[in-house]
Amino acid sequence: MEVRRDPVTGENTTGHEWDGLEELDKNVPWPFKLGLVIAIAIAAVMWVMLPSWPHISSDKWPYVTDYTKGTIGYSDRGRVARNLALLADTQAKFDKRFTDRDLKDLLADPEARKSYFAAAATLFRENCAMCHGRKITGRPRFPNLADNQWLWSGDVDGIYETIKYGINSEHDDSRSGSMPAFGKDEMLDLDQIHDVVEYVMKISGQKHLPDAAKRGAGLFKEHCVACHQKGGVGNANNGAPNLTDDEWIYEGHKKTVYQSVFYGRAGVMPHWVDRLRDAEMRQLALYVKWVGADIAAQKAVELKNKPESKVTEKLDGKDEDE
Amino acid sequence: MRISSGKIEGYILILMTLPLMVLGGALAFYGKEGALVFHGGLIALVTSYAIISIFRKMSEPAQNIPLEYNDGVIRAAVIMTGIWGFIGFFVGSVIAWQLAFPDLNIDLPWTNFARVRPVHTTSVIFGFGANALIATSFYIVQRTSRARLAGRFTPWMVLWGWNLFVILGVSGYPFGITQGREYAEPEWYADLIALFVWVAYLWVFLATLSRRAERHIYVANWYFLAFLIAFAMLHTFNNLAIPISLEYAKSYSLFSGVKDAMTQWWYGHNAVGFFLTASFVGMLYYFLPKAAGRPIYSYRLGIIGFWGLVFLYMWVGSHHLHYTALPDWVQVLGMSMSVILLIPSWAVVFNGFFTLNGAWHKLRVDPALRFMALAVCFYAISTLEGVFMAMKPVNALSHYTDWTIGHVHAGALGWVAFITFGSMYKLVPWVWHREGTYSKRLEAWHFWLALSGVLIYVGAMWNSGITQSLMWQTYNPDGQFAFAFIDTVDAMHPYYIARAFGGTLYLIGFCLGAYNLWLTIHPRTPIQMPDQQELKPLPTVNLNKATVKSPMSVKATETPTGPAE
Repeated sequence: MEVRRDPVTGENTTGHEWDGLEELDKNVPWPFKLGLVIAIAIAAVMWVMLPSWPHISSDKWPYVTDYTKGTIGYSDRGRVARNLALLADTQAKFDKRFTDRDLKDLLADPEARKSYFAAAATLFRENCAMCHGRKITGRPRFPNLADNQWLWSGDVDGIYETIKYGINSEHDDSRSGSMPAFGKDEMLDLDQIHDVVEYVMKISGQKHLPDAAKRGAGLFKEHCVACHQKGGVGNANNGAPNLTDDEWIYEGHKKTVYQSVFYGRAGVMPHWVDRLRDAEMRQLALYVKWVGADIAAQKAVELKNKPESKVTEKLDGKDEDE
Repeated sequence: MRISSGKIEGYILILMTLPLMVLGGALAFYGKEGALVFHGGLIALVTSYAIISIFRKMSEPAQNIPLEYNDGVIRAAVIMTGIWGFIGFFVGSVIAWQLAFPDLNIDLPWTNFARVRPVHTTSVIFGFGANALIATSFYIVQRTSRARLAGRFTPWMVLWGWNLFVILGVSGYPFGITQGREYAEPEWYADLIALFVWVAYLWVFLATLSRRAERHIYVANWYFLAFLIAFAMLHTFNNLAIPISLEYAKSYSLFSGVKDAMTQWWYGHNAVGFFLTASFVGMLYYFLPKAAGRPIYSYRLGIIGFWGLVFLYMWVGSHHLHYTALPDWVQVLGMSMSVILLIPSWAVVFNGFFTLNGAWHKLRVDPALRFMALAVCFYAISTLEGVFMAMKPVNALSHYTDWTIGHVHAGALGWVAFITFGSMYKLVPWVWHREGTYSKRLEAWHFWLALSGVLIYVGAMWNSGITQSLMWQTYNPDGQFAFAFIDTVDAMHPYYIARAFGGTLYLIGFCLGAYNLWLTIHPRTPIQMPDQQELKPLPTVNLNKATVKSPMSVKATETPTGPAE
């Protein structure tokens, strides 16, 4: 095909033609050329300043074992190391505020709470919320931390220790306590378990069969009081829960209590001493106490506003958010 | 005129297919996983069917048929494009809703996001994208070379072999058959089939070009050639792996550690560069000027753009591995080449937009051309954005966030799929010999739904990505995190709903488009078929006649190759 002039642009065509398609012989527009020059210039600046081109090194000739280092001596590794050192420095200064003071002291200090509550909350959501819930009220199989019922010590130092070493964790100093599998290991037969469960229903104030519960009382005395104490009030020294309240880790139905007695329980809380800094574990212990106190105060206000009849029996009731 | 009975071609194909059949049989026989046995059986079945039909066709006496373009395989590829497009977009919408509402994965291992996501990516890239490329490249290379597609059996082997590969991929992922390499998930036996198909594809293309009646090779074909050659190389090297046995699908990569990562992202970025850019640029260089009825803006720009793109893309894969164990110099080299790459990439933008000079009014009446023009816009935006994301300081913000997802979808939905939709609205009437599509109004609905879908999607992901990244990086002055990870999950939730909504709009638009084209192919009222096409000599259209500029006469320029003219 002939070269022709395109009437719209006034340019000539190249004279090639494919299936009716032609191309104009337009020169490359100047913004494009300028862009190309600028882009290459930017790249060249990078090549000069930063590590970029590999080359043959004289000592291991002829292998390509070296690269141009750049004029500003940049390296990712160096940058990360500097930033980490800076962070460690900042954190070390900050951590002193927790490690140098007694936890009880900090707990009593309203200033401490004001300054560190937000960061401690983030720590909790990042590390603890997946089991204990964002509102610290737990969920089935994971304890509520706001009900003031504690398997182990509920005192701020005790909570700190639990966080540090865990419960039934792999750490040597872990707290350890487990419920034996009375049914599976044939310490009690099925009828006996049934009776014990009825007794537990009784002491926790739930619907029960009086005869069976009476039989269960004897069995309870024989097999259970060693840990759960007389009357089933629990023991914070060995992690045996209080069975008389309406707070349950594994839900308080007959069915789950039966499972607990038959198969036993050995819930695990991981140890955090290898994963968090000391100051962080201390913040978490404080946070649990701070929020627990808030929730208790909120409960008290709610109860005050409610009709008087339910006050006594619901005092340590479950959190609605659960 | 007689065409070759294809004896030599047929025997070569049979010789190449036989080992695959044996492999399929062996996998079906020795396999100990259900999905692997199914795959082996499927391979054996398809390959034996292929061998038998080649034998049967070869034994038929050679026929006298008029020399005409081979459009049958193109029609089949168009249908497969539609099917895979629906699967890909549908699965994409499902997983987008799953991300917004995790309960939607209904607690089954097979519907888990991690297993379904590659079904989405493989369906859209290798199902929808590749079938569209097979259709358009076969169409373009014939027309611009004035030559019939080479080979009697090979084009069909390419089409069905490739679709077999895609089926092997997507049917294996839910059952855990994956290499775990992004965009290269299918296991070694599927990769072997893909390689076989790809070499055949390259041969068909080269052989067709070699018998061309034009002196020069059209620019679209340069891009298709680059795509074919580069992907053959990328696919081969990235999938070098040792299978552990015939009993299980697992294989181990030949590379280890950071070298493996570099190989993967050298592949990954060039899959974007050659599979989703160069090849679709080829599509653009034919269908856009054709639909606009205008000459290409600049031949020289085309040359600079092509060689710049082909040369530079190969360097930049390392920008996917910033701040990793990859040595600094590799990262910086990838970053610097990414800067230069912008300019040749934008040669396509210049050529795409300025080619529309003198045809802008057609955008008002032709939604297909609008699709193509918007495709150029999205191409421009996402290549520019890509350069910024390749810069290490920006990458520190954007990497591992939803921004990347937004960027990819601006390219995939906005550029790749838009240019495909635009081209299909032209291609379908041409290869089925229709005057135009069934309904321009439906085309317009498709356009606006798709455009709203992309904008909502990309906007949501930009916001989400930057939000989450800033939240992750925020420390308070004491060196403590200001936000927990779960807080960023909360913050992303509204954007995830918006994203899923945008994706669903896009899917609805696609369904309208598919319906429209289906009715174009199978009209409700019977149409007068033109007489047996006598395409001797192969038709060309004089552009002088075709560039009528009144909007009223757009129709006349729309079917320049139609034999009815």
